[in-house]
Amino acid sequence: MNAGAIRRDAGSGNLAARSVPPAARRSPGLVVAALVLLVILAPATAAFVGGRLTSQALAIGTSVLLAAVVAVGVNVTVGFAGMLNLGNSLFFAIGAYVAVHAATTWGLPGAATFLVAVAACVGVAGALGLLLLRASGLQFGLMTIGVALVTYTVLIAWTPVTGGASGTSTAGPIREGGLPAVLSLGPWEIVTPRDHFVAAVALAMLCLASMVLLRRTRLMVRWECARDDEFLAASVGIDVARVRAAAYVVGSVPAGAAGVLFAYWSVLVTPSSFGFAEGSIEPLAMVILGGAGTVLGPFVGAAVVVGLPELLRGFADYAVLGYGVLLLLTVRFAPGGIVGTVAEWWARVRATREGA
Amino acid sequence: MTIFVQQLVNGMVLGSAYLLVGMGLYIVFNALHIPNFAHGEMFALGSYLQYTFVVGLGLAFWPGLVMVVGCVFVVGAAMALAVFERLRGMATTALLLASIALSIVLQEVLAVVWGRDALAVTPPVDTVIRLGELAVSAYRLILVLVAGTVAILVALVVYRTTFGRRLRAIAQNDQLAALSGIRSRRVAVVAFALGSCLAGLAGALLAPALSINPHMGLAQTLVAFVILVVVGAGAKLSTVVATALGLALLETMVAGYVSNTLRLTVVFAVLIAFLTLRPNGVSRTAVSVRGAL
Repeated sequence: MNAGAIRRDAGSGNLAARSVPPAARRSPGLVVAALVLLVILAPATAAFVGGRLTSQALAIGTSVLLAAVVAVGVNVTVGFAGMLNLGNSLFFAIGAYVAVHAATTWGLPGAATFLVAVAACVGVAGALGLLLLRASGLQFGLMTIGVALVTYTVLIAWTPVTGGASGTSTAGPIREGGLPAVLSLGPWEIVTPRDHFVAAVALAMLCLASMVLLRRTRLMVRWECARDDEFLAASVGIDVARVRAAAYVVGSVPAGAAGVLFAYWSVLVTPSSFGFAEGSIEPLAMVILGGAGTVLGPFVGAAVVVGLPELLRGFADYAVLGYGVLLLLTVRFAPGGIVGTVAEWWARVRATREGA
Repeated sequence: MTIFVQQLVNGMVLGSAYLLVGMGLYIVFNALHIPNFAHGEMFALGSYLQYTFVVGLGLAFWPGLVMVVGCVFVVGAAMALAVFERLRGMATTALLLASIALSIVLQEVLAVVWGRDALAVTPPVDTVIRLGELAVSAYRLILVLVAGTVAILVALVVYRTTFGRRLRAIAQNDQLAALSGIRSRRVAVVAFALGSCLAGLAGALLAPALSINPHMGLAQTLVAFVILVVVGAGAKLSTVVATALGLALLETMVAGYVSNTLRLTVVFAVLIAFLTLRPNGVSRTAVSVRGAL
């Protein structure tokens, strides 16, 4: 059973042409410069625009961006490496609960919190990967579902650490006013909703830039080989299990970072954000809808899955039904997702133009 | 000791649901190679239909059960024709994604039709059998008997009838079966409907024992998948039954002696340990025979 053939079915028979994307022909220096500009300019723009947005728009924007960052991680395992990862809620939860403890009991500064959360995710993913990646395909998918369920149960049952079903918060004791903790990144203190929005933009752009760079590495080629045909990949000397373990670890990092920002932003952290449907299926739906294996796919997917229901408030009851139907139609008619389908259409248009 | 026997009985009740649901998914997966994540929703649909027939329309319990089986059979056939026949030839992962999407859609449809609040059905018999300190409701014993009988009937159909022979033929090699004159698509659709209505029957049978809600199918789906993966491909249905009962006993014993919240956690811990040792399941079959039933 070979995983991730969802993109191969997209009619992209030109695998050879795709493995050397046009971007790879551009000089690395130019790309890095462009990405650095993006990572600096986008938050700056967000800071400027954010001042004019309503608090509701800021909240929607932040939740879409945080969801997108989680989806970026899922995209690494599902889209790039073709492993059906249904247990990503674990790493989002690790990030969030580490942040709560960093803010309340450990008193860590912001940058250190991010480091601890990401390190915890990498450690857990590395150890779990050793166990889970003995299986592949359906078995792997099922085991990750197990991870998601165990995560949720532990969050509810391990009351001293997680606060149980009622959750825990980054806010200090009530007698000191119960104010939410402030995330301080060096000189920059993240307090207002606008600050959180800007931080989410920065994190999202950082993820975007990392993905663009990641796509140019050898590891990416190995992932794609293992995804498209694991036996063929093994035959040319790719250690499939190890490459997949790497994907599992890399995919856990964005979720951990997003978890930290999520905890500081939402203040109250409850297990309901990390259930199977919310924590694992929704990010997967974003990746598939947006375009598995594309850089922009998770962002588009997050905008659709999280953003659209916010805009169509009157139909809130049907939001989940809507994205379920969309997901089903995507798998059937546009396995490349929104971004993949548009890219394919654009490539065809360009090909006809050059041919003419 | 009382706890032990009580949990043993509970395990048998849970196990009867698991074996019906598990057999259904096993047939669907082995014959059609569809990892149907929406299988548990057929269980939920069975419960809801039973609620409508018994509480809504005032039918007696047992005729209602028969009607549920018929209805879920039709729904299953419709699902096979409308969705899965159109996804033929896709990779397992893509099929799993599609069926996850389908299960989301079905859950929401259940919620729209019957509402999100939990519903309940009263059992047809409310006699309680007492043996010393042990109290077991008669309905639970009947439930186990019905499930056992149905399991035997299904095994007879699969291993002793012409339809079963065709089913096993398409499970082994779809194209060869078609070449020898079996209308493989028709057999596949009927097999899918059969698998679905087994889950529906389990849902209807257990309706008095559960709180009926739109998301009740997920646990059943997961258990059915655990059974599928633990059994592995190419085993007989008797292995599925044994695994289902074993799993249910494990779960109820954990619930009885350790903690009720940990029951699924322990099941998945055992699954991970098991798959680490035996990645291909319990059955030791040659690769060429895998996929048989």
